[in-house]
Amino acid sequence: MNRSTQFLRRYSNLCAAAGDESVIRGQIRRDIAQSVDAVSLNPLGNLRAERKGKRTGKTLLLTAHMDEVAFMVKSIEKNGTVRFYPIGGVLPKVLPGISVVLGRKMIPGVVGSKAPHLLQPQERDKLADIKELFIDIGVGSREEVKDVEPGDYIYFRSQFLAQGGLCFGKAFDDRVGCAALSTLLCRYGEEKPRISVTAVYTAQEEVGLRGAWTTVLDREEIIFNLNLEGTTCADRDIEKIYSPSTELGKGPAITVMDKTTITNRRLLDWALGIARDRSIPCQLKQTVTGGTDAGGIHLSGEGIPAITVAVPIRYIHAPWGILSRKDFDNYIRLVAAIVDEAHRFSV
Amino acid sequence: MEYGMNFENKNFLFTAFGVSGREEAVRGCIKNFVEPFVDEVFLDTTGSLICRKKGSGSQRIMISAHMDTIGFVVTYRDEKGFLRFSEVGGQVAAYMPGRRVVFENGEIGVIGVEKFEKGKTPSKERMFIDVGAQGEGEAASKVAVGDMCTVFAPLARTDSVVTGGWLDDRIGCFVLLEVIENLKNSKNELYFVFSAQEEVGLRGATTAAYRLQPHIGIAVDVTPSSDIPEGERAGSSVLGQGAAVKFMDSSVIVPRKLAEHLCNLAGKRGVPYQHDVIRRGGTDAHAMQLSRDGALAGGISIPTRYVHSTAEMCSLKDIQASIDLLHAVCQDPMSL
Repeated sequence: MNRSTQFLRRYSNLCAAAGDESVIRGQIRRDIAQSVDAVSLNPLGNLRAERKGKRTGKTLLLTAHMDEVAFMVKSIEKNGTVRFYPIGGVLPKVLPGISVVLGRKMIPGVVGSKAPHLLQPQERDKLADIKELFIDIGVGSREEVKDVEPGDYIYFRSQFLAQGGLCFGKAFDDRVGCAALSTLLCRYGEEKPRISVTAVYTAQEEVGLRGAWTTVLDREEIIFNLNLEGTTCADRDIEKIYSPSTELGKGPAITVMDKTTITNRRLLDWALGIARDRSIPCQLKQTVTGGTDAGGIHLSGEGIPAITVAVPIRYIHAPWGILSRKDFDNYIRLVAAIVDEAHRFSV
Repeated sequence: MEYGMNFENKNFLFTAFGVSGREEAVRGCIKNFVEPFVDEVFLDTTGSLICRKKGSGSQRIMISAHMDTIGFVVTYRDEKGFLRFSEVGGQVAAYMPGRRVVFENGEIGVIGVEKFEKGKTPSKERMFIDVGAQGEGEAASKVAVGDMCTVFAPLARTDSVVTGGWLDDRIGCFVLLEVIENLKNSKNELYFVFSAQEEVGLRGATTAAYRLQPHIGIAVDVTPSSDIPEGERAGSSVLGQGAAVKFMDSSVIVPRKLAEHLCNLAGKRGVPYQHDVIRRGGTDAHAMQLSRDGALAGGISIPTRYVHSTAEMCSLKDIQASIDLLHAVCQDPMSL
């Protein structure tokens, strides 16, 4: 397993949602500390790493968010079951029957589901409502519940595995971005990048790009922001819908437009040109859904051109995602190529 | 009634492409037009065009009209050459089927519907754009995924109204250009901003206001006209009653002293005006008000029927009143 996949496995298995990023932040810090010139934290929880380049002048801003979608304990019922809220966008229909961990002590639990034998005919077609769902941690009453309290975080309990050129696991959105950033920073530790690079691992993206809004410092001179993401991929449903968004195996996806940004045309064409010149497979994201940190960053200060490059992930925002290792490798190649050429870009 | 407005030399506002984020064409035309009349013209990163007109006073006023229009973006091309799309900005499904669209490169398409069900407005997901291509290859030679288009709806003018698909907010741009063209001198430091990406979240005005740090911000934009038969009362403004001075919308409450100042100014100059209060909708005023440590922000609105349709309608009288009021704002020493 190469270095980047090792990072991906490590980061995917860690649990960190908005406001609770400390575990992954600590891990990333240890992974990159030796390779960069400066590391700092901001009050919202962003981790910033700076690496000087061979040239002086403007900096390239690389970003990836650390937080994953998860849940929070809302209340504990008399019978010892746990009610919960989502943190970020998760559909209740993917939840019944899955296994989760709760609280700092990672108490295992299962999201309760009704046996098919007991379902009324009219219930079969009904989508789950998160208010009706609960987690069973194997106790019979509120008094028996230990180490789980309202406000505790709840995470998917999925352990990374690689199989047949694909990776399976949770939180690929956006641990793919974090893993790519750490891979590149380690590389730049060995050999300086051509231009200075600031890498920010952001907090609280899934609840509204909150870390992103606090990423850019006053009077910071940034050429552009290259935002690293994981994105939707519906290539299994293509018969039923009009656009697969992205397709597994066709390379990293570049965003033209989503709910929070319209990519600067020059930057878009320029990045596509780099992929073409270096023969790196890539695709355009073919839907205008979702938002990313680029949405917050491109409106910072007087404005910063921003572009998002993402790994296609099947079943994103669910307990298990699937991605192609080839896509992930090409993603890192493309990002490295963009960093390499960034000094040539001007708006 | 005859008005002194010149639509002919500003016709580009109603013909030049400029969907949110892809405003290059219209921006170029505006730049060419304003250059002889202002002291400085520059472009901001988000895509807005900023025109500076020096004045004798020290009050910095940012006057913003957005040059982007709503539109569509191609997300997928099927094997037969039909295009699926998403909206850029707020499109109304009922206004869409059967309309023609124009792409930046001049290609024309039609919005088709899979099938109509009796008594139902088809959902946008059931619509597609047909550029008349035989197969994906021909479609690809005309339009790429990521290309944007907008309704093809040229301007028509009668002796009382104008109607067309892009009045929101090219009519605001028109008001600004009329003022710029005829403004002899100013008591204030003026920044006319033709903002980008308003329809997707006031993005151009956000970064422009950060850069300019205005004391006062005036958004010139359309406001819904609440006078259509059995229509929803969306707000206070109606067509033909004059420039609508913004008091409140869902994104901004205008400081009383600014709203009253604009009304007094209109009264003094004999410019017809009305109070503009709307329940929904926001303008660049929001971005200006909340920039950095805040600015006094308000607006002059042009009452418009059928906003975001292919046939928006404005009254020439209201347009003239808005020009006159904005002209007064520029000339009058502002100290609020």
